[in-house]
Amino acid sequence: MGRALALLLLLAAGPALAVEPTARQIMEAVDARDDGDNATQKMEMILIDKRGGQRTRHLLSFGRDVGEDEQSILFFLSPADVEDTGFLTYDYDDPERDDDQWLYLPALNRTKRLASSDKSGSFMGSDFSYADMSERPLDDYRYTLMGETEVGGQPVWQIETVPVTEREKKETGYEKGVVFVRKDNHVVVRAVYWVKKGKRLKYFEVESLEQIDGIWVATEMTMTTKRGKKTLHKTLLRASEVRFDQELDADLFTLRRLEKGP
Amino acid sequence: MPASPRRDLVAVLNQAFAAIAGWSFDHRWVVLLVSLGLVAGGMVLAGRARIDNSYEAYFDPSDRSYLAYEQYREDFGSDEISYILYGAPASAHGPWNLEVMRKIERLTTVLEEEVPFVYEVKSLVNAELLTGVADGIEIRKLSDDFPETQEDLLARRDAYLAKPMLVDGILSADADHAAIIVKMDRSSTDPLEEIRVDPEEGDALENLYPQATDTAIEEILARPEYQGIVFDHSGDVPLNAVYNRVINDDSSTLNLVTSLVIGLLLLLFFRSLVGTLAPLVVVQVSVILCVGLVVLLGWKLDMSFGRTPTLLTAIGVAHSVHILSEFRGRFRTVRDRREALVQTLYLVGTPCLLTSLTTAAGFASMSFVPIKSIAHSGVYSAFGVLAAFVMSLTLLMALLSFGRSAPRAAASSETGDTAKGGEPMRRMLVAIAAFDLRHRKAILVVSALVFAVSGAGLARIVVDSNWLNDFSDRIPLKATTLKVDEVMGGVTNIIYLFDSGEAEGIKEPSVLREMERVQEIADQQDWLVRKSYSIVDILKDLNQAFHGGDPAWYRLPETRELVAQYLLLYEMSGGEQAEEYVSTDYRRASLELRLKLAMTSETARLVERIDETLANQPLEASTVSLTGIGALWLKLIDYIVSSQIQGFLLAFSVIAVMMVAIFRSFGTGMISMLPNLAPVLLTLGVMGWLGIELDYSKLSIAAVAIGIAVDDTIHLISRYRYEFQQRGDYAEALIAAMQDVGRALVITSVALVCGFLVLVLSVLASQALFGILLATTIVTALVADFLLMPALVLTLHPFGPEGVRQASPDLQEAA
Repeated sequence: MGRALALLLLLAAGPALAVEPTARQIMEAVDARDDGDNATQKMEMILIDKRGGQRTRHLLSFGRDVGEDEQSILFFLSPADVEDTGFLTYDYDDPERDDDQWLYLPALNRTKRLASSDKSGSFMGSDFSYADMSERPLDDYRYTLMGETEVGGQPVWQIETVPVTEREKKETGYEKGVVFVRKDNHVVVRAVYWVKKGKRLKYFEVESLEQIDGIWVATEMTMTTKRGKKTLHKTLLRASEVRFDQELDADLFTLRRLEKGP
Repeated sequence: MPASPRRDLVAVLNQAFAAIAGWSFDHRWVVLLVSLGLVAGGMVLAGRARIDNSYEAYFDPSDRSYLAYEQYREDFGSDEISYILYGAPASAHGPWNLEVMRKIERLTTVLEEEVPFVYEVKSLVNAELLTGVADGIEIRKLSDDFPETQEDLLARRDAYLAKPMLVDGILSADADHAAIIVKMDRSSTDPLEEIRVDPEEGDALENLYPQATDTAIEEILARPEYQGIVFDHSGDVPLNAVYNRVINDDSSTLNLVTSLVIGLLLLLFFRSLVGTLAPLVVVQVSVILCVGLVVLLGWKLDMSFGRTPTLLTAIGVAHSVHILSEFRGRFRTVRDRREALVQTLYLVGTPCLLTSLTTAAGFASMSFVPIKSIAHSGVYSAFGVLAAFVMSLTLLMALLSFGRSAPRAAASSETGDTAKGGEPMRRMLVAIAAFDLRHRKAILVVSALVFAVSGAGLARIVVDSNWLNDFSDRIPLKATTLKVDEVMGGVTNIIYLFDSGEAEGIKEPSVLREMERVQEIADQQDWLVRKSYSIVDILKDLNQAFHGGDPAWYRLPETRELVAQYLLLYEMSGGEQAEEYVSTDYRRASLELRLKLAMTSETARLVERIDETLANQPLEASTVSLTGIGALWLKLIDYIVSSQIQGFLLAFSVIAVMMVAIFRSFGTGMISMLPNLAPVLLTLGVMGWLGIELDYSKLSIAAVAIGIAVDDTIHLISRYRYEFQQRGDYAEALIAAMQDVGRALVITSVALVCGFLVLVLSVLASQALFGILLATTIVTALVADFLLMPALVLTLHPFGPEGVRQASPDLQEAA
C-alpha cells in the first residue's frame, strides 16, 4: 500500500536522512508509518473531569484503508442507554472533500448523517477532537525541528508544527503544536497543542506503546486539557484485543450493517 | 484637702496623662524620632499592602453559599459576562445588514483574541443553529459558510428568530437589536493571584480582572472600523470594573478634598499652622499604621477598608481639636507652655482615652461577625482608633512643645479668644446651657417624641439594596445598563443547580421533567426573569429538529435512551453549547435565570416563589441548590445587613457596659448612651418615613456614627462630671463644661460636617448619601449632647446630690 511504499522510499533515502533529516522529512515518515490494515479493536474511553469524576464508554471499532481513504465503524457497547449506537465514517484523503459520517440511533431506529465541517470539535465529548483522530495534511503545516530529547528513555525529535492554511487552522482550532517523534519507529509519543479558544493547552501522551503484528500501536493514550497549570479535563483511550489484517465482511462499512449492529 | 477625697480611676488617669504630657514635652525629640520611626515602618509595610476587591473577601471559605458557587464554577466555569447590546439604526435591516454582520464576525474574533480573561465570545455569527435536514440534523453557524448576499442573510434570519433559546438572549424578537455575550474565564470571587493580567505588574486596578477586561473591550468597540454600530456594553465586567475604579479614584480624590476642607476650617478656628496640620498628621499616621497592621496580619485591603480613613479622620480630628482647644485656653491662663500642656492632658487625656477605648471595644466586638471582611475591619479599625489616640498624646504633644514658652503678652487674650472660637461662640454655648436649664422638661418631652416618631419610622424601614443605585446618574454605565435591561435584559443572574445523585443521571426523563417544571415556573415570573437557559431547551430543540421542525415536538424526549442518543448525536454533530449546562459526568445540570437588575428583595421574592412551588410539589428525582453570582450577591447583602446590625448592637452593648464601668454608675452610663442612640435612631427613622431603603452601604454608617457620637458624649459628660465635682452644682457645672468642651465639640463637628459633605460630589450615589448621612449624624449627635444629655443629667442627678463638693485633685496638683 501507498504508505508502506513511501516508507520504503524514505528508508531508501536513508543515508541522507541519517545525517540530518529535516522536520518535514520526519513528519513525512510519521505520516507514512504503517498503521496497519483492517484493524479491529475494543476501545475504552474514559472522560475525567478535574475533580477526578469519570465517565466511561466502551466501543467496538473496525477500520480499513481504501486506497488513501480510511473507513471506520464504531459500535457503542456501553453505557446502556447508547448501546448498539453505531458510527460510520468515510475519511477522504482529499482535504477539499468533507468526510462522510453517519450515526445510527437505535432508540429512533434511524440513521442520521452528520455534517462535519468543524473538526476542531470534541470527538464524543472527549478531549480528542475529530482532527486529532485523523491524519492531518502535511502541506498545511510548517514544521521546525526544535531539537532532540528523550521521552520515556527513548530518543525523540522535537518538532514545532504550525498550521499555515486558514482551512487547517479552522479545522484544528490550534495555533500551533509541538510533537515528539520517536526516532526508532516514528511514533508521535507526546504532543502539546495550543488551543486558540479559551487559551488552553492540550497535552497528548502515549502511555503504552505495543508492537502488535509488527505494527506499533498506542494501546493507551491520554489527552489532557489545561489552562495554565490547571487540569480542566482529561481523556484516556485504551485499546484492547487489537488485531490487524482480519477478514472483515465486505459489507461491514455500510449503512445496512451500521443499523444491524456488530 | 476637702472631705472624702475619692481618688477614683478617673483621677488616677488624669494624673497619669498629666505625667505623660510632661514627659512628652521633656523628651520631644525622642517622641518625634519614635513617631517618625513608626511612620517609616508603617509606610514600608503599607507599601506592601495588597488590595482585594473580590467578593471572596466577604466569604468564609466554609460558607455554604460560597461552596455551592465554587462547586458550580468547577462544573461550569465562571458565570460572569460582558453583555454587548448593539443595533445599527442607520443600516437597512439593522444587525441583519450584511456589512454589519461582517463587522460583527470580525469583532467576535477580535474580542476572543485580544481581551484578557475571556473564555469565549458568543454572537449571532457563531451561535449554534440546530435544524433538521432530510437525513439528519445539522448544527450550523453563520461563520461556517458566511452568507454572500444580503438576501441570503435575510433568508436565514427567520430560522434564528424561530429559536426560543436565541431570542431575547442574543437577538431581540423584533430583530432590531442583537447582542454579543463575552463569557469570562474568571470571577469576582477569584483570588488576586489569578486575576492579574501581567503577573509582574502588581495589583494596580488596571492590571486586574475585570478592569483590564473592561478597558480592552471598550477600546475595541471604539475602533473606527465598527462605526455605524451602536454598542451598549454592560454586564458583570463593566459594572464591577467601573465600581472598583470609582471607589478607588473618586474616594482617594474626595478623601484628599475632605482633608483640605477640614484643614481650612481648622486654620480658620485656630489661626495656626500646628493647629491646622497636627490633626491631619495624626490622622494620616494612624491610617498608615492601620494599613501596616493589615499587612502584618497577612490580610488585604478589601472593600470594607474604604470607611476606615473616614472613621479615623473623625476620631483623630476630634482628639486633636479637644487637645488644641484646651491647650489654647490653658496657655493663655498659665502663660507657660509646658504647664499648659500638662494641664490640658490632665483634663482631656482621660476623655480621649475613654472615647478611644469605647470606640475600639465597639469595633473589636465586630470581629465576632462571621463575615471575614467585616470581622477584619473590626480588628484594624479598633487598632487604628487606639493608634490615633496614642499619636494624639505623644506626637501632638511633641509638636505643640515647640514655640514660645509663654504667649506674647499683647496678643495673648486675642489668641485665646480665637482659639476658643471667639466671644460669639462662648455666648452661644452659654445660651444653650441656659436653654437647657430653663427648658429641660420640654427637651425631654420633645426628645421622647422624636424617639417615638423615629421608632415608628424604624418599624417602616425596608432593608433592601439595588447595586445599580450605588451609581449616580453621572456615570454613563447606569443609563447603558438600564437601556440594556430594557431592550433585552438579563444583566444579572441566579442559577439552580440540579443534582441527580448519580453519574449520567441527568439523562433520566424524570429528572429532566423536574428541571422543566422549575424552568417553567421561573419563566412565568417575567417581571424579573428575562431569559432562562438549561439542557432542557437543547433537548426540546433536538426533538423538534428530528421531527421536521414541527413545533408540536418542542418537548422533552420520552425515554432515557432517546435523551442519551440525542445528546450523543448532538455532541457528534459539533454541538458544544450543552456542555455549558451539564457537568462532565452528567450528574449535575444548571438552570440559569438571567434577571433584570432589581432590588435584592425582588430577587428574594423570585427565589421564595420558586421555593414555594417546590415545597408544594417537592422534587423527587433530583435535589437543587441555588447559586450564581446573583444569588451570591443576594446572600452577601443578606450577610452584610445582618452582620452590620449584629455588629452595631454588639458595639453598642459593649460601649454601654464600658460607660457604666467607667463612671461606676449605671445611671451615668445609661444617660451617656441615650444621646448616642439618638443619631442612629433619628436617621433610620427619617429613612423609614421617607421610604429610603436601608441598604448595605448605608448600614455601615451606623458603626462610624456611634464612634463619633460616643466621643462627643464622653468629652462633654466627663467634663460635666469634673465640673460638678468641683462645684457641687449641676447648673453651674453645665455652664462651665459647655464653655470649655462645648467649643471643642462645635469646632470638631463643623470641621467634620463640612469635610464629609465633600462626599456629596462623589459620582457614587452611595458615597454622596454616605456623606450626607454622616454629616446629619454628626449634627444630630451634637444636638443630642447639647440638649438631651444635659436635660437628662439635670433631671436625674447621676453625679450625686448637689451641694457636696467632691474635690478632685485640682490642676495645680497635677502640675
